[in-house]
Amino acid sequence: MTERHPQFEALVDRARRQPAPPLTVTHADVRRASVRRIGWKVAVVSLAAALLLAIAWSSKPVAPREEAPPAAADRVPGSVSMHVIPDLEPVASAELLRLERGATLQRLEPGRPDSPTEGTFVVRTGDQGIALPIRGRVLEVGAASEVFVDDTLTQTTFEVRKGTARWASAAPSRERIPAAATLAARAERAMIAGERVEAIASLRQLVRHHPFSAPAKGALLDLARLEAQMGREARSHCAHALFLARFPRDARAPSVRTAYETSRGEATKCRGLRPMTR
Amino acid sequence: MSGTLTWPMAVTLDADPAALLAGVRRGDAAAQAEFFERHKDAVARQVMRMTGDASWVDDMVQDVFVAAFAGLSSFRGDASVATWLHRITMNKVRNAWDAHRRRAAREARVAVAEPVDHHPPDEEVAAQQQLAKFYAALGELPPTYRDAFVCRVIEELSLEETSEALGVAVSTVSYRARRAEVLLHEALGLEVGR
Repeated sequence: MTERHPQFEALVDRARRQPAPPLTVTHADVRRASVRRIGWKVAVVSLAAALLLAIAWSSKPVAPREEAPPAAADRVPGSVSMHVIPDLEPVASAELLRLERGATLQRLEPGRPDSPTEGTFVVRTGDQGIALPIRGRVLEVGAASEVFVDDTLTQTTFEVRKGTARWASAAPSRERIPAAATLAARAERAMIAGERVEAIASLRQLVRHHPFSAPAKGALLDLARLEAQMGREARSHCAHALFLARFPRDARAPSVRTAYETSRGEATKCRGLRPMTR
Repeated sequence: MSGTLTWPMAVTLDADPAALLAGVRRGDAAAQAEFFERHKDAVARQVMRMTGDASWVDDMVQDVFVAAFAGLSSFRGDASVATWLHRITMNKVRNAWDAHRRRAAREARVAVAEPVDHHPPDEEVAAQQQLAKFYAALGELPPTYRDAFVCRVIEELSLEETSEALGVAVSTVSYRARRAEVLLHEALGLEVGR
């Protein structure tokens, strides 16, 4: 042991000899505190059990009424029932969600200045796309559906508030992605039928999943045209920009550049198909 | 006591620690009260020795016995009840010390300097102040050094007992306790080895 300074030794000695003060705490106090502690434990355990039950209940699959569920391989097992859909990347703007009956999507933040105040979802049933308007801030899904969240149409982020939502495929598996030709044909049919919203959704999916395919070139030009027709100059501008970035040596590049340079898009910068507003 | 009593606890509490423990384990109020009365003073003294602060004692004693009653089922009887309680107390004080140090650090950031009292303190007051400085310096030690010092020097546990209590090797205990002493000397402005 270290050789102590006498003053230090005296302090240690004093510390050892300190008398305890008269205790005011009694066994009854200890018992009450014990009961409180047990009460807290019970409360915490009960709360945890209730939460587990709630999670189990909310993730219980509901039999779809209007369509068969997707293949099990496309689901992410154990997904939580509440999802915040991240701000969608332009080339990954189209996201597929599988929603169970009763799920709702809640708009989390207002759309950007160039977005419509009322967005639209394309709810797909099989190969058919049905556009559903957002009423107020909430879209209610009446039946199990794949919801195609397209930020072209909504430009915002959403959160599943209740019900069960599973990513059918956050990055959809190859088996579920239609071929470029299929998407192009789907877009073509929609354009002929005057369904711009669905046409845009298919075109964006085509551009996203088959970015350098031959149909993607035409898809970008169609997108630019359709967006301009819908008054969304900034998005049209970005479609042109993406075309030039991806296909600079294409025969149509000079005319696209002219359109790009003369377009009055609000955005000065784009991230993929998405205009950056600042 | 009458042999006709149907409640054996009253007969055995005073004499048989095992019966007392069994009663406490069952949650018997009388047994717990007896257990508390038997050990409370030792726990209080230990808290006082370790902290030097009378204001901690009541709360710490209560915490120790709440923990003891809750954890008695895991007490296997390898050590004596006194040793077991000593260990619980030490852990409680260590936790409280850490919490106290964190709180003190927060408060120090916003503290305003107190006016200095220029009256010369009398001998007892000076001794108390010196002891307060000692405990303040102890509280500032790294927790591992402080624990070793408290066990070895203040609680006067053997190296082996301290090693067992802290769960570290005997050589580690020895080194930490020595190092703590050096640091405490420095903090109090005293020279080692004089």
